[in-house]
This record gives sequence, C-alpha cells and structure tokens, in this order.
Amino acid sequence: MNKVMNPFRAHFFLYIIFFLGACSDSALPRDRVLRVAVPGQPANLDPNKSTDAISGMMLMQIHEGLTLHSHELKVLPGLAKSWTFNETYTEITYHLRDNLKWSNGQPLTAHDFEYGWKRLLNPKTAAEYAYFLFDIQGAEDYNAGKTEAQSVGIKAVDDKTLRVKLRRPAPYFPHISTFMVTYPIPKEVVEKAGDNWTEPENIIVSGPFVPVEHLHEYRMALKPNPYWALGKQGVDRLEIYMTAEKTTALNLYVSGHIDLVFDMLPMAIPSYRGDENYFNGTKLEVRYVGVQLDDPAMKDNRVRRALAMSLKREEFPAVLKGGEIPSEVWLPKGMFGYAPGTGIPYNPEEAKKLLTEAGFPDGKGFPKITLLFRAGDDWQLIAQNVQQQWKKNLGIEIEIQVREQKVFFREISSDDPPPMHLARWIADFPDPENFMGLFKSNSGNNSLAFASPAYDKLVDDAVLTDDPKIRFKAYEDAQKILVVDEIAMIPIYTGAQNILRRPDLENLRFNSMGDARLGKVKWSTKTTGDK
Amino acid sequence: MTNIFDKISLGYIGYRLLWGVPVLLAVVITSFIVLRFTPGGPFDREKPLPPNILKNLRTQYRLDRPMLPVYTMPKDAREKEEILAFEEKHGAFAIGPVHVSLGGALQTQLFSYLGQLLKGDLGVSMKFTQVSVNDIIKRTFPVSLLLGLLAFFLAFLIGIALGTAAAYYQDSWLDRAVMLFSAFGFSMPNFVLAAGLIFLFSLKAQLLPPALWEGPLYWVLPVVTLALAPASYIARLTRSGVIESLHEDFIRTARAKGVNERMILLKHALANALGPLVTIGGPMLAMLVTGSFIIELVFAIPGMGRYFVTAVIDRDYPLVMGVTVVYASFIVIANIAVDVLYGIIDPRVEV
Repeated sequence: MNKVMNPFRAHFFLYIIFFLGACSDSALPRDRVLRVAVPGQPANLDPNKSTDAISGMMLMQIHEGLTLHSHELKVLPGLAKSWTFNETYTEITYHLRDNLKWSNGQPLTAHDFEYGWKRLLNPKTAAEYAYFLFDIQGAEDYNAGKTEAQSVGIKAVDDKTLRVKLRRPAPYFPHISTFMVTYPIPKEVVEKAGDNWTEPENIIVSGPFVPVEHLHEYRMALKPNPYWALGKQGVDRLEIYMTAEKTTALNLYVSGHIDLVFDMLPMAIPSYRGDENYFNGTKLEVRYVGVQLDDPAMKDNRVRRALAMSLKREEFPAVLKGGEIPSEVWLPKGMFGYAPGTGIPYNPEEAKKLLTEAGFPDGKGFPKITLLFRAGDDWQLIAQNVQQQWKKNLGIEIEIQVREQKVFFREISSDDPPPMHLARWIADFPDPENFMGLFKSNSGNNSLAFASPAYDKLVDDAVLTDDPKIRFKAYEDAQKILVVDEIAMIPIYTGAQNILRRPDLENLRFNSMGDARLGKVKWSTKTTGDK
Repeated sequence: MTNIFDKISLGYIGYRLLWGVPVLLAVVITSFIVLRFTPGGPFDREKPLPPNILKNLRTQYRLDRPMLPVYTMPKDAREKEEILAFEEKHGAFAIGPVHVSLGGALQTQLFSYLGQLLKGDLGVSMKFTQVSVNDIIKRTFPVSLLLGLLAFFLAFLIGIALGTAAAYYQDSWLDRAVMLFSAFGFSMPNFVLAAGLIFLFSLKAQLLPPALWEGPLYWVLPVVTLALAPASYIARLTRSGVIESLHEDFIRTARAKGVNERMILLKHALANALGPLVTIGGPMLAMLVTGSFIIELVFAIPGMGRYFVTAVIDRDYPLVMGVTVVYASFIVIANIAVDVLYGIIDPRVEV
C-alpha cells in the first residue's frame, strides 16, 4: 500500500506548488497598477440605464460627459470646451472640443450626445433616470409615449455643437450634464451588440479607461484609452473589485491586495482616525425624520416643534461614529445655501412647555405614535436614539418599527403612511434646486403631504436670479418655512464619506458627491509602491 | 462483489427523474405566487419613480399583466388601468368581484413564465437590468459548485478520519479531543470562524489571502471555513457508527480468523457505518453548494449563494426564481444520487 501511495503524494505536492506559482499577480510593475474596491456590483453599466452609486463610480472611469465636477463641485469643461446660455436660461449650447474620438479611433460628435439623450428618454429604453432630462422641452411627453423623438428639444447643430432647449429656466443645467446618464452613447455599437454592448468585447468608450475584462460579481480590469481627450492616464491598469462586504474590503486593504476602499467599515473608523491612509469628507446626504402633517397626532404645530426641539443632534455622530455632521437645516454642508443656525435649536425646557401647551404635560396622554425605518444597522441606531431622546426630554413613548427596505419604500409612499419615518436624500446634482425641489407641492418624491405655495414660489424664483445673495436668501427663507414654521421634517445630520487610500497616491481627490476621477491618479515616485 | 452497474437499473433512475418534474413544477409555482404576494416590489425605490417611467418598466417586465388567469381588480388606480387594457385585448368575464380571463390565460405572468422556463429561458434580472438570469447562473453556479464540492470532500475526509480514529480509541484522550473539536465546529457560526481564520492566517501570519478567488491558494480559507461544521457532524456520525459495528459479532469472527486490525477497521467496521453518511450526503452537498451565502460574501467569491438573499431583498423576481429552480433541481438530483448509492453500498436495497 505504501509503495502505491508515495509517488502519488509526491505528485500531489508538485501540483500544489505548480498551482501556487500559476496564480501570481499580473506582469505589470506594482506602481503601474491601481486596485480599488467598490461596495458591490454595479446594477447596469449602460449609462442610460444605470441608477446606483456603484455604477456611477465605475462609469466615471469609463466615460466622459460634456461637463464634469471638480473636487469642490465646480462645473468644469469635459468633452465640451465651453457652453453658453441664452438670456432667459431656457436654451443652452455646448461647444465640443476639437478632434474628439472614441477609444477605437472613430470620431465622437455632438450626434453621439443627441442619440444618447434621446435614447435615455425613449420609453422603450425604460430608463429609471429619464426624468433627469425632463427640464428639456418635450422630454417628459416623449418619455410618456405621447410624442415622437423629433419634438424633443435636443439638437446636434453640427458635429461640434449641441443645442438644448429647456422648458423652464435652468441655470443649473451644466451640473446635469456631468451626470452618468448624459454620457455620449455610441449608436453603432449599441445597435450591433444590443444589451451586450457594455461588455469588454464590444464596448468603446469616451473616458480614461477601457474595460478589458469583466468578471461579473467580482472584478473589472481596465486599460488606458489612448484617445482620452482630457490627459494622460497615471497607471497602465485599473482593477475594480466588487466587494459587497465592508469587512472584506478592509481586510484586502490591510493585507495589501487593494489600494483604495470607497466605503469604509464604520466600526474601523475610530482606529484609523488621524491615520494617513484615512480620508474623511462631507457627503451631500441629509438624514431626517419625515413627518406626516395630516396625521391626527402630528397636526398640532406645537407638538412638531417640541419634537424637533428635543433632539440633540450631536448624539447621532456619537453613536454612528462615521464623522457625520449634526444639522438642524435641510441643505447639507458643502452645498450652496447651507445655512447652519437657521433651524430650530436644541432646547428641551422650551420643548416641554410647548408639549404642555398642546395638552400633554410631561408627555401624559400623548398617543403612542410610530416611527418607521428601514432595515440597516445605522437606521436602527438612529431610530433607537430618537426614541430615547424623546423619552428622556419629553416623557413620551414612541414605537419604532423596522421594515425591510422595499416594504418601507412602499409604505411611506402609500395612501396610509406612518406618522413619522426616517429618510434621507442624497444629491443627484450639487445644486440646492435638487434638495429644495423635493418638497415642492408638485414633486413626485414629496411623500410628506407638505404643500406650501410660498415655499414653491421661493424655490421656483431662486433659479431665475444670477445674484448669489438673492438666491441664498430665497433658499434660506424657503428652508425656514420647511423646518422652522411648518416643521414638515426634522433634519438630523449631514452625511460623511469614509475612505481608505494609500498615502502615496497622487492626484486623488474626492468631492462631496462621492465621486473620484481615477484617470490621472498615479503612484508617487518618491516612495516606490511596493505594497 | 458483483459489478455495480448490474445493480443500477436505468429504468429506476429514469422513473425517479420523471417524478422530479412535478416536484419542480410545484416548487416553481409556489415560489412564484408567494414571491408576488410578498409586499414591496422590484421598482419601489428610495427615490420613487415617476408614474410614466414606472409604467414603462412594468410593461417591459410584463408586470402590467394579471399574475393568474383568475384575479380581483386591483385597488391601485394605475394597476387597474393596466388590467383594463389587458382585458380589452384578451377578454375576461366577472363572477362577482372575481375576474376570469381565459383568453388571456397564456399571457398571464405565471403562464408566460412557465412557457419561458420550458424553453430554458430564465428571463432578465430586474436589478442588473440588462443581464439575463441564465448568464448570471452560468457564471456563478460553477464557482459555488467548486467551493461546495471542495468543502464536501474535505468535510468527509476529515470527518471520517477523525470519527474512525475516535471510535477505535474510544474514551481515550484522542476520542475526547475529537468530540471537543466536533462540538466546537458544530456550534461555531460561519462568519465568526471566517473572521478568526482570516485574522490568524491572513492578517497575522500573512500566509493566505484574506479574500478573492484567484486560484487554489485563495480556496483554502473559504473551503476550510465551509467544511468545518459538516466535518464535525460527520465525525460524530462516523464515530457512533463505527463504535456500534465494532461490537458486532462479525467483527469478533473476523478477529478470530486473524484478519489484521486495519482491515477490520476500514473494511468491516467503517463500511458498515457508511449508510447514514450516504443518507446525509445528498442534502449536505446541496446545502454546501447553495448555502454558502455568508462565505461567498466574506471572501468576495463570485458565486451564486449571495443571490439567495440579495435577490429576495431586491425583489428581483426573475433572479429569485432562477436560483430557486437551480437549487430545487440540484436537491432532486442529489437525492436520486443518494438512493442509487444506497443500492451500491447496501446489497439489501434494490435500485
């Protein structure tokens, strides 16, 4: 028996050694490769059809829009070298750069934008973000199937000029043309390859990197696009790993398998504070308690005011530990119109008085209302904290109820919504219009039964002016109506982003939209990246 | 020993496979209906979609049709409008509040799904909006299968070896150690074990990668993590089986005949203890191949397991159905394989 076993064993070990040798890293030197982790799989890499932040982060490395955001969220020229508005801000003309090319060397023209934008609006595309271009004349009707594509106000006047007619003044429109759904789309490739056009064997791109390998649910590898219009890439290979579990991404970073982690494990943040690998920045995200104004228990303004007054916002960052910024106002820090101090300040004594006036001394007789929230550790912590603070400061007992997220979304937009729920808004584009427009009475996303003509007018008029002072004042007044007078919602905090990245990476900037353009990121030559 | 192929009748296997069809059909129909009645739908979003965009999506994914040929009118105005349009096209009659659409029966969600399934088409994912479910499964199932099979074999190897040794040296320190290991392995949750192993072998000793799926070196930690609990279970099962048969008369006879101890242990005692192991083998393999959700997540392995959870959370109807069909088929086949194996190891069973 032993005689038979021994040679087999020898072979077995040889195989193992062979295998181990075979899985060494790619042949490129370490400092020519950049490996990043994103927190999961992109839902769709077709710019027209994508909706999620992960797709957005990946598409930003693949495609380029007419305009782009700097790390301070200024609008900079992208594939357009300039743009002009007419006097009433109802028409915008983009002038494209000279000699633009797709990654296969074919010319990239204004027609590729016209095609892409109309494809986004085409009802057959069934794009969820089609409403992004609803500011364009005829766009909404075309998307609803009422009219044909010709009636949409998007026109490539020539190869280098794109003219867009708007149905209302939209001075913020250059922000919109930074967004992924507006990237140019290569008509020929789409028509030839169909839904598979985004796969490496078919895709052509306008941005810094071209996908060469896409192992779904796992990794995408990309190489530089020689025809990229905006400069020279800093590395020869970009690898994007889709690690849904934050602990895994952290382990891969610590063990040197990955150089940049976009969404850091909150638990690990305290131990990285002050570390050169750690980056903390603001994020244009606001979390708030949404209040159902026509709910019997919430009708009384004094009750809502007492509730808003008795939440100490500093407690939330203390339990969440992610560098969140306490906030009593609707517009987030980092956005035009941010006006701290406008909201209702913490004042438990005054809150108690108000509640007594409303007929609930020491919270006695207050109905047991429900605060609904979606499943997730962070939401759970917020809900529990809100519950405790109101109990401590007002003596009232509320019930907190968790729902799985799809059920939660349906319940808060149903005909019979809960008296209160925990919600958030993440900016689609960094202009106050995006946040303020949410609570206009005609907004499809307004789930609070809040309708104020004064608010609507302030928000609508704010976009008509060039004067930042007037605009700031308009938003400040509108915010006062929302969070101080009517108290349709109680803001809690502005979000933060927590990122891990090798300290010897250069040209790596993050903006508060959560974007990072990796095209020009490179390893510092001072310290060789031998990790 | 007779040739094992003489013992297996192809007719029996064919008969069992045939019985698998109604089982699968029942699973598919039940899951389909339960899934659709689960509150919340695939297009309920944090930022609610405008009505027209929602309509476009519902048309594209055929959610604008009734689920079954028998239904009541929905309360939702938009859905009602869709159903009325459907009835205008296909005809329907009402019995009290219940509407019946015989003409449109084949167009209903359930029947069009079944028709599609017959052609082997699992549809397009609602979350990963241009990826076909067939492609997702084709890509991810082999990974889960490899992971599951490796863990399965490792579990049997370790479990049988430890169990046999423990039985042979019953009540020794070795036996106690094996039983302790088994209790530990069985009660330790997957993710805690994974975290412990990653900490020790990746972050401290730096011997093995903490995650990813690049080759055999990357297989070690996930396979070991996945195999530990079943190995503990198999060790216990083997131990009690071997102990039992070591007390049987035929062992005493064999010893009296002078058969050496190794042969007694391996050929007689262990062979006799294999029955229960085969019984649990089928479901265990199915569980290891499809139930590795946490392991795949923690080790960033591109397998199918994660979809058992995420697809349901996303209400990605076609994907949930797709993984359910694959899982159910796998269990049916594994159970048939177990019954066939029974016939091979136990001469008393006819197959």
